[in-house]
Amino acid sequence: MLYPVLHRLERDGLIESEWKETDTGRERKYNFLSADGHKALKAERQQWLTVHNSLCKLWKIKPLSI
Amino acid sequence: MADRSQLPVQIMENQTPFDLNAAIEGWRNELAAQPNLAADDRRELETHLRDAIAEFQQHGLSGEEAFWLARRRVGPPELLGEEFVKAEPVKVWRERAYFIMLFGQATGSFEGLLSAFREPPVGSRTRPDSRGEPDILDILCRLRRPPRPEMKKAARDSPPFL
Repeated sequence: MLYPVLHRLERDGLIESEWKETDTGRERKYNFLSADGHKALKAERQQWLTVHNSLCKLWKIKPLSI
Repeated sequence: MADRSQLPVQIMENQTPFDLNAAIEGWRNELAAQPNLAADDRRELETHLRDAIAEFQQHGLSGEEAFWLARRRVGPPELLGEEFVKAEPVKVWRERAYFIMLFGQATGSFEGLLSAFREPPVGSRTRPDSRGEPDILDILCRLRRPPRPEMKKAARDSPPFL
């Protein structure tokens, strides 16, 4: 389920949200990454790349440049 | 026998036309019964449900089909309540960081173990894919040298009782 995850990200300060009215007149909640969220994304990416590179070396595969 | 032949007819007759507003109202009540969902959360979830219904209807689905599909996409109300308060995020992150560290160490020592059986030694390996950044695996391998394989070999070659 997507929305509980977004909710938790927001509680954690990684995303921020804003209610905006759409063309249809209904309100809709928009989410965007906060400064902390950008930092967390960068750290997360680095961690997964470390795991990825470790496995590539272990299995002798050339790591894909991402 | 007679009952069985009448059954499909009865179902057709009993079927009431689907009322989308009533269905959404029912869904809203289900959501309201969840103790963990604040009013603002419920309001948000309802906008998602309505957006999804509108989207599916634009793709040609009937109101009923669109409702059930949207309900499924947003998530069953009884599970949404649980998910919203699930595991403190800090705890999840800590667990994941621990897993990554453990995993990095495990592959590091495993690689160290493998490289101990072949030349050249760990520190002087040529790495064509290296782009000059410090390499955590190399550092771990240097820190965690496995026992030398020669020791085991020597122990195996010498007769145990002599």
